[in-house]
Amino acid sequence: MKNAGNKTVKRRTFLGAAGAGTVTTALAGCLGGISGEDDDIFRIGHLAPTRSQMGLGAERSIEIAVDEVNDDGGILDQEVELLSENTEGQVDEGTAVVESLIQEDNVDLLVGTFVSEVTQGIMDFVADRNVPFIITGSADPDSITEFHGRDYEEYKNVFRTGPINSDLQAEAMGQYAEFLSDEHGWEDFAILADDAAWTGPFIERLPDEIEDLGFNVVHADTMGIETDDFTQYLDDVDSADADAVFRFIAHADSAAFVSTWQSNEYPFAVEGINVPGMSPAFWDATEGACLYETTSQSGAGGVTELTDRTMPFVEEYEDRYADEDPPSKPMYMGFNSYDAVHFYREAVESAGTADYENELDGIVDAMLSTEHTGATGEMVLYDEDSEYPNDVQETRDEDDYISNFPMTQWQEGGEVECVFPEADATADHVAPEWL
Amino acid sequence: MSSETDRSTGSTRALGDTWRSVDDGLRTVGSRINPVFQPLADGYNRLFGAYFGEMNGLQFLLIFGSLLGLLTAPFWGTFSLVQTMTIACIWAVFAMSWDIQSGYTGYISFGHSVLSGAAAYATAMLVYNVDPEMSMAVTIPLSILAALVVGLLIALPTLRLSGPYFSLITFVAVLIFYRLIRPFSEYTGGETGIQGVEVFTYDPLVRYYYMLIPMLVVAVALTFVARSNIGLVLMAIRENESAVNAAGLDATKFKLWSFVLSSIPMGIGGVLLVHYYGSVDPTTFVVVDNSIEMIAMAVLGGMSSILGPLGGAFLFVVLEDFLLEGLPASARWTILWVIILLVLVFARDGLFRKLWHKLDSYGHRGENR
Repeated sequence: MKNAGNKTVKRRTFLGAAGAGTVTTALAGCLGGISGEDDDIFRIGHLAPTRSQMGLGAERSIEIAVDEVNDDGGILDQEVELLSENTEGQVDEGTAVVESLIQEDNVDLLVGTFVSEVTQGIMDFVADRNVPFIITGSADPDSITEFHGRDYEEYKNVFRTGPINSDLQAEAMGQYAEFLSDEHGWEDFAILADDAAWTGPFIERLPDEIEDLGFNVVHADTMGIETDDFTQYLDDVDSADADAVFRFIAHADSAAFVSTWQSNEYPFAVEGINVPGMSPAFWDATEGACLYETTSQSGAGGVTELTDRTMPFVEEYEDRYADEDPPSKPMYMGFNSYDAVHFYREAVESAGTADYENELDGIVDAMLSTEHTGATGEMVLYDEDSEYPNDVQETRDEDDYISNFPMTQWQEGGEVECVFPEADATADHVAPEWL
Repeated sequence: MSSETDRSTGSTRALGDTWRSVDDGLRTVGSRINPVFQPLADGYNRLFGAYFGEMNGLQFLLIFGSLLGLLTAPFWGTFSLVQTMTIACIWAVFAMSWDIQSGYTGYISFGHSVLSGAAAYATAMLVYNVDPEMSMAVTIPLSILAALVVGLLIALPTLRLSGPYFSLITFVAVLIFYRLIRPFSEYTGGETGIQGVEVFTYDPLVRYYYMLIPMLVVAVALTFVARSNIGLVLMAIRENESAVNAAGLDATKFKLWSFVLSSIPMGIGGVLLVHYYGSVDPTTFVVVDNSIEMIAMAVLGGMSSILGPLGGAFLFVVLEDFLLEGLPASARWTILWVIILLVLVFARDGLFRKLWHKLDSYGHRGENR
């Protein structure tokens, strides 16, 4: 206070004080700037390996859903903006883009993730931030049982609206084995699976499912995801005298698998799940070697009318992307990403809020009580007390067959046909001609 | 032909002239800035010069300007840049750790990711297999110890080897470690890895300092060691191992020391990485590509210089995750590796080492020291 009063402030002191003030203000501003501002736009962050056909199909499909929602007044009267990020199927990349979407872009909803490892890698962060997250690609049941099952309160903002988890898929595959036995008299089955999180149930549960129905599992093995020579695996199935092999491939080189099988005319059918084989471009990529192979997929490849929303969505997709790069159909993750947006909109509009920071419980309750008709079928989530909290339920037909994970088959001329369940089938299942 | 040759010689000469005039310009500017910071540099030199090396005013400006930039990054950087720099801090620890062993002794290791992987897996496996509530006060030292043990396991059989055989052993070590993860998936989580490791914090600002401060401590400690007699002996091993032995020093003992010096900070980096992601998996933590990237960072900045690899790591990660972020992964990596190739061809000592020597010569020109 000694210098207070009418003494002139020295020029250097003034400059110093002014400089310090400016720097402090700027720093303080930047401190807030590390996370973005909220506003009246409803932002959806979409996560997928968008350089792959599966991820690109999902990205395009969610664009269609967002446009439809915006044309219909948005979500709770807010315009919807889509921010699509490429996870590259890697945990580190997935973590980085999710943090950026939540912290910097302030997304109101996260949709996506294909690789189960990526899904699980981001789970804790997403749970910590309470942003609603709808899984639309990963099927690993652990993504629910190991998280919600351990601490529901912590992970209640995470949902899966499709596909059904691979425990349920394993049950569906058992039922499909029964169908194949009825059709062709096959009784001996083999199982080959990617060594990855989502295929665990196909190794652990599917053998019991098949054997409980009175059939035999004559061989089971896992394949490293870098595998590109499948001769030894197919020889083993051959030695075991299997009538059909259920193979579960999302990462490995499935074109090499099917080409080896077809060119050597191995005496067994190829059934199960083949993610790259869901692309309409797979026929050309394998020069038709995929003839007779089947895959299960949400949306049945877009070849059959599962609900009255299925074909309008598929036709819109085909119209928009007819001249673009493959895939020319949405593929399974595309169906699920499309449905997730409409499902969430229906839920939060019934709850009257999408404010997850203050009213997450209301949103969760609305999600669990929503019954939505999607492009993939009728959608309802399991509740907190069930084995798979917040996970999409399987639907069953009158014969108790799981109906929302239909089987498609490549048939003559590169046509994709739905072959199971019979209520949705567009053609009969065909056994390879050399059997 | 002769006219083409003339043209090309002419253009080369023109290019040379342009560079010389730019160099002269920079030299003039440098010689004017140097005296401004020389008093500060002199103060630093008096206090720390004997331990960490002396600097002129320009070098002081580079080091302390960079340090100030790093310490204040969350206040001026965007979210993405700070996020990238957070990761860069961890990779800088790896690159510096690799350098104190391979850069200084010349025994090139292709298997350093096995050391950080060992620490990260030790943390995750302690939490996953032993006690989910185990405190970081227990897991962190044990994990660094695990890195040290694995480092010594690799070091011991390699001590009598030289040239490519040493590199091959380290390369094979990382491949073996990677392949062992699947058969022991009950404990290691297999291909999926282990989730549920506690993260330090999700606050991006606080997390940045959680990574930056250990990185700075490692940088100071390794620079101190590198400038000490130990560093001199390690460099002498690279230059002429027989001469070191002939001088009565046991080169084998010092090579073992270089592994110890390298394994401990590699363990620290591995612990930082696992508590950054909150999970561990073989692709993110162990693959041999990680080791190659550490080498690339050291090459980019300048091997056998500690701070060179630090700068190289920041340049590498910021290029990959921030500046080239919009490009497809294949394009990004192609560009990065082309840059590494160009540095190897045109600036073999690394960009930061080259810059350091330039600043040294510009500063001296000022004759104000």
